[in-house]
Amino acid sequence: MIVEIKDLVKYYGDFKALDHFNLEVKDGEILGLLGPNGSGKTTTINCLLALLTHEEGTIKIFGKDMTASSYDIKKDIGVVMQNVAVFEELTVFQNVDYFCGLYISDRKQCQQYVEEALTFVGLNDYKKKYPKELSGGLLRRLNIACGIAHKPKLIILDEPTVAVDPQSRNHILENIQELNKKGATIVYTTHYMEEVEQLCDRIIIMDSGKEIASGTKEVLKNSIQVKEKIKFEMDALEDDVLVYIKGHKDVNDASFKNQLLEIEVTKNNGLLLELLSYFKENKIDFNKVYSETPTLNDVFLEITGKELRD
Amino acid sequence: MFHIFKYRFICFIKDKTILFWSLLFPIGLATLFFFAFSNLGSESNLDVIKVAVVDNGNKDFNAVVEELSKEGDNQILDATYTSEKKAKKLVKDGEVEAALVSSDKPTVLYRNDTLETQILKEVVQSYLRINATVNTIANENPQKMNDMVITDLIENKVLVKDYGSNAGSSDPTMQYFYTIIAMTCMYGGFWGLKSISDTQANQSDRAIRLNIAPTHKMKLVFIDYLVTFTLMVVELAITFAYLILVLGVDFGSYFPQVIGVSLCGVLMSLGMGIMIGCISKLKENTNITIISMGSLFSCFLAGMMASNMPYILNQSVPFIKYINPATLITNSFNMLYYYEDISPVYINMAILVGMGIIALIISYNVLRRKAYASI
Repeated sequence: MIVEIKDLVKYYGDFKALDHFNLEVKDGEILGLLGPNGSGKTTTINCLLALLTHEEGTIKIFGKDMTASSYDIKKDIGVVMQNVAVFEELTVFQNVDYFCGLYISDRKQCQQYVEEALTFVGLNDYKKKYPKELSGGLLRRLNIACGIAHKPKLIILDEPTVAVDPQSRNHILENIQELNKKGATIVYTTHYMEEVEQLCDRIIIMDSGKEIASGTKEVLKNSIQVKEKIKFEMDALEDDVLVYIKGHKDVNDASFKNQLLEIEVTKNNGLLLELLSYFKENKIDFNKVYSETPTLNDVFLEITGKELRD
Repeated sequence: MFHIFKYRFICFIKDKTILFWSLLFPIGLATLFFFAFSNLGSESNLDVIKVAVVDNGNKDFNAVVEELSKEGDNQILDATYTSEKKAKKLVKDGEVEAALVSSDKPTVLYRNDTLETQILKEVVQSYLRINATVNTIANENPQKMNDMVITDLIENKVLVKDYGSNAGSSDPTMQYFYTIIAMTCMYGGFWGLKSISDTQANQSDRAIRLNIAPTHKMKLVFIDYLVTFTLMVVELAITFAYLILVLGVDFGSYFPQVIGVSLCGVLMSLGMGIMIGCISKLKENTNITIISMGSLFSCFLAGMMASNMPYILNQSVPFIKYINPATLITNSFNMLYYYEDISPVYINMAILVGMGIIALIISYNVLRRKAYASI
């Protein structure tokens, strides 16, 4: 295990931010930490990095206890924080060089790493620019470059794509996959389920400082009752038709709102074909039909009754 | 280490706000002082002032009045000796500008506050200051006293003859320029505060990144200290160069010691800025206000707004001159200007450095134990 957190408890005053939280990260995997705002993701990361004190629990990285003065552990960790943390007074190149230099003492090696990091995030054309001259997406890339230039073994990314345009977001996600292919273990926190679905080998869903579910995305999706969602766009629907659909043995729930009939299916037994036949026989018109597999938001919703995103 | 030094130097030097307050503001203020006070020593435009003098037994002050009443190019007063009752009548009738009461603590009686009465008040203040200086010299260097000391002091001769050639023009406005140097030194606290905010994880995101790095926090603080000290040395060099070469301010012949005192002041203020940043739980802007107000107050006590403030404090709370940093600096400058024996200056320098060291020790202990419950 690269990271082991056991029974972590953290209070902010009287508020319990982490409630006996456990986390294990295997070597070489991308672990996603998914949860809504205020679930404890950033607090977990800050405790993991020994930035915050905690009341109970143990934290180990690379098999050693992690403390504020664990410099031997810190040299192999790279962090990309939620907020952009660069020096406004330094250029793009200077920022990456400065932070890389805190990890790599050999100047030649450091400069080489800096060049590679800037190429990796696509900021070669912006070396001499200052942070205030960059767009939000480019700033995020700079933030990443500063965190990974020294080629760390463990990379922690705390919501790195917040307020980023789609193109830059895709670029960032591709970068992360590439870093993992090169051997880095990654802990990725976000409240965007699409990102963890795309990136992560394993996902921990947390809420109110606790783990509420964990596993691969397939395991998580299979763990809930809903297996499929069928949606019909139609102008109108009779109440008795809705009652009929709701009463079907394979239907978990059905609703008709805003000209959309949404049916949650518990078993994939060809219900769609059955419904299409039924509508044809009863001359019930519809405009469009489509089917979706459940998302992690559905997993979260079923377990907590809340949406992942507020 | 050099690469950290280099980048931190770039970061600091681009902080226009602190550069303004620690460099441009003192230079601007010095320029204002220069234009405001440049004619104070000039007597060529003054008419002789008619005064009534009431002799209440202060022979020293009487001698001053006599000297200032001597006919010639340097005559300032046209004195008429009379009783207090008659003197008040003369003032009331407008026959004299004011009345000087020559008692233990001489006073000026006047009807209207004019330029002439301002001058007379300054004469009395100067006498009181010089009297205090004489008493100090009598206590500390009695062998330098002689019978002509009062007259020669007025003519500034004894300061040149008996205290060596380190004294220049002994312009009373020098105090203002000394306090400007003191203020420049004190504003090193801004640099100290800025440096520590970049290492405190609860004060900036950049500091969080630095706290995660495998570089010892003390190493970063030490490098920042070197950077800010270098910056302050450059700022002081520019300020001194401007004062001496452009404004023609004379710091006497103990100039290396003047520089030494200034550097000790810088060491103290940098340490204080770091300490405030470490200890204070207030926001950065509030800490900046604390340093700004503290520095100005310290300079006020050293005589920046009222040149006789050090004299007043020396009479009422003499220990202030040993604990107020700006007073330590300006007093040292005064001693380097007037005294031959400058050993008290080295004591002041040691006090300044001691303050800085104590501030750094406190900062080290706070930083070492610092852990954040929230950031």
